[in-house]
Amino acid sequence: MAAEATALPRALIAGIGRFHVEERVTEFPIGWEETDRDAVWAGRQLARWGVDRGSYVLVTAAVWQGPWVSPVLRAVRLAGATFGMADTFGWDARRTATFASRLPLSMIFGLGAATAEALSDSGQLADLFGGVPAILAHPGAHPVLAGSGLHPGLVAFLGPALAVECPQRAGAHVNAAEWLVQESAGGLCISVVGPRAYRAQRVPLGLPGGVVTGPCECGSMDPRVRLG
Amino acid sequence: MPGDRYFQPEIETMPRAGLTKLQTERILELVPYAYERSPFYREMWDAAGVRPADIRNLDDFTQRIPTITRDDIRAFRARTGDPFGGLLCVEPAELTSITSSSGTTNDPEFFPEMWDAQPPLPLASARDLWELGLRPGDRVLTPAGSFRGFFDGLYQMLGLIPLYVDTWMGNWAEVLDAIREHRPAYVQLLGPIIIELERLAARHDLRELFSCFKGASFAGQPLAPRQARMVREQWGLELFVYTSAGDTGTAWECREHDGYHLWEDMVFAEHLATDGQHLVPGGDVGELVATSLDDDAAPLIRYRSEDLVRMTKGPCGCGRTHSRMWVAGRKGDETVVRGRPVVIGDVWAAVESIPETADGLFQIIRRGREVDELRIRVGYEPPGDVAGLAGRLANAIEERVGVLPEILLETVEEILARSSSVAKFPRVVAR
Repeated sequence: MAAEATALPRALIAGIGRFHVEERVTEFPIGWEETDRDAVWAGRQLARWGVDRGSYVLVTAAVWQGPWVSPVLRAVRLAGATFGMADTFGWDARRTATFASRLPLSMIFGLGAATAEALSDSGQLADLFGGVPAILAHPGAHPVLAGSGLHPGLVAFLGPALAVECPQRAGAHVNAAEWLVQESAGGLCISVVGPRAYRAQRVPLGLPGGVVTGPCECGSMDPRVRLG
Repeated sequence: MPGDRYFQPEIETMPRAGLTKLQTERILELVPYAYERSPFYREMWDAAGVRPADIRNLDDFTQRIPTITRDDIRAFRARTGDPFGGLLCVEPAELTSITSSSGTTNDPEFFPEMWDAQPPLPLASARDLWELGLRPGDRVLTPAGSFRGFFDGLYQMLGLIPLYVDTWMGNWAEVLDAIREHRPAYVQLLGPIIIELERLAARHDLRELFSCFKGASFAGQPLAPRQARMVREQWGLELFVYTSAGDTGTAWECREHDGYHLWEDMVFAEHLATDGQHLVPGGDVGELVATSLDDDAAPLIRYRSEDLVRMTKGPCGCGRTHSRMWVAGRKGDETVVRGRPVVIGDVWAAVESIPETADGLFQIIRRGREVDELRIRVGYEPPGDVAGLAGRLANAIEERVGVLPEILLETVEEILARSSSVAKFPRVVAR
């Protein structure tokens, strides 16, 4: 079946994503070559957390988050690790709990507030996630996880860009070859600097925060974004 | 190469003798493969006194290899601590991904997967999406749920352009804007989304908006007849309903809309009496028992799906030769009230006959299959005379099923907030 599919003509672009800043929707086309580069970059971030062959990585995400998450899924595969999938709805938190209780997870990627709150309400958070070496959570989940004594790393969608914290926990790295995140009076803004299908300069993200430049102790030269 | 109608013409229209030969060859490979690698099958088959060498043809397979249930796998997992229930036939490090069942009634069960190009479940729908009419260059909306895998890679492989829009319920005002802007050819719908669209129809011309679609898929629960008419006749949307192929994949309607096609190069499907091992005639209701033919990671072999279906091996009007099935319900969904059986379909017909509850949103609440009282939670559209509505509903249901139920009314929004699965709305819930 895959042979027939790969023989078909490829579309001009890999997809069209969208992000929201307050009430405004901004769409961005996704080029083919940048999906390859994004997967390689995501792989470097996962490797810093020790993800390699034999690791189990649970990814909690919705399909509409594909522009940010599909490169991570490819990166898990490229590392020879295995990914599990769970939805982000609070009422589906049982699925995340099932993965965490049955498998020796090396990482949970993309944990959101709804899942964290649902598991916190049932008093399961610390027991379920206490033994997971790396939890990369969206900003809204951090207070809930901290309340259970957990110390997640940060993952964030900065407009069209993915930001991932390393084990130094000194801010979420953004791929400097593709994006330029800057501070401005109205909060963070982002520009495209890589050869991407989407071209934009100084797009406001509607997020307060700061940008730290210079080398990180993890070895990365990518700048780090601190939210809030 | 894909043709005008068929994605894989030779396989999709393969004569019955060819399908049987293909299935026989695959099963004769599968049996020793699973016995040597899977502790679950080795234990089950040893206990049944059967060895791979005993299986020389399909008759041996269906008569000697025992059927299995989800409870058998759960019991093995509980006893051994094996997260995969003993089904795994490869080293865990060889797995590419792990998805899971909907988890509508129990904890989700794992589906370990091993693949190169695309995950198995999305890839298996390539023929069905081709039949729906999708072609390279078409734009498609991404589905709401990810628990059975991301579908964007398959869409890309088919030359389609995924529109990454949140299509879960509550966001369809934005989805309609995206449809207006991009004129996509395909979307996946779920029951709660159709209810939301019904609300939005007052402010949007859905027929015009949906005129760009070649089709929409629908899955997860039976579609209420009133909703089906509304979607097809008022909104002009051709729905392609699909269902589970006994947890081995999916089975879709073709453009003839005359049953769900089981791809028999991927699944060996049997149609057995619910209380035994014997085949039932195709026109009668039996339980779908499935064997996955394309899964080297953790194949299900003679798996009792609990799906009650009718089946035929007769060719379809579309020219495809693979079996088709029609779903009659789920084993275990029947409730026996003081000795009188009550089936979902009869309750449904009564609920949707009342204007305020025409969405057909209801759940039977019970402690077990046999109860003394029939309690039904029903979603209604406010405002309304709740006391009077409960009485009318109770009478309508009694007329259909012969039992006067206790009615618990909630608004449609309240009842949808109880969703416990992105894929299925449970019709029977524990008290």
